[in-house]
Amino acid sequence: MSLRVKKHFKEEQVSWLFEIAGELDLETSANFKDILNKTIDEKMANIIFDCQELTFIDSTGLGIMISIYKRIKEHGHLVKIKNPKKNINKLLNITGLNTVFEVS
Amino acid sequence: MSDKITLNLPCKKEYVVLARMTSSAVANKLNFDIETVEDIKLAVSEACNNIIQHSDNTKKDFIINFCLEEKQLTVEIVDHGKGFDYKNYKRPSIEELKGNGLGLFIMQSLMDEVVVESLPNSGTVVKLIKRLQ
Repeated sequence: MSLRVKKHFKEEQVSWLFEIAGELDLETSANFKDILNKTIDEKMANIIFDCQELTFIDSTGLGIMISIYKRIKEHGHLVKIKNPKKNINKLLNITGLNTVFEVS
Repeated sequence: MSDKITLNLPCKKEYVVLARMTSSAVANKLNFDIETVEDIKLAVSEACNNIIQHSDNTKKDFIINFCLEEKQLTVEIVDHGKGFDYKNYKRPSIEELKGNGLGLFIMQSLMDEVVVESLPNSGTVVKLIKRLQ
């Protein structure tokens, strides 16, 4: 399996929207981390992850989301997670990350 | 019923997906519901991740034993690495937002039972147990 990422900048929300599809795991997370960091280097903003097509995430993937959250939080920005599947929502609840990220 | 399936995987991150796919097939065979199949897949993935990232596995491969019983699935993940100091393991704190230790915490949260047997420089066996309701 692989991870597919599309990104757009949403001016009205001062946010990068990442549509992520596939599996975010130990194999795919390093490349994803690079994409996120380069994007934030380009323009600091909120980050929205649209997880509608994300079928799997593990602790490595969550670790990437935590690290980017720490980076943008220093600048007053947030991480939002949209449309997580049931298994991913469960993981966010178990780990308590549903209280760190805005989940909808 | 008591069947055993063994998977011998290279200690490389690109093979964790194979462990996950096999976990899914085995759990489906035992008629676990879809949510539980997802839980088992994730728990097995986390155990594999820990080996690849932290164990300094002295052999090229690690082993996964799937033990299928009528009312229970036991997955044993065995490495030959440096061992893991389970007694001093601390549950990760979400307030500190550290990713360390999250894998084992996730395994413990999703499975009915997690047993870790480890000695310094003698490898680690992680046993994940899920019972059919």
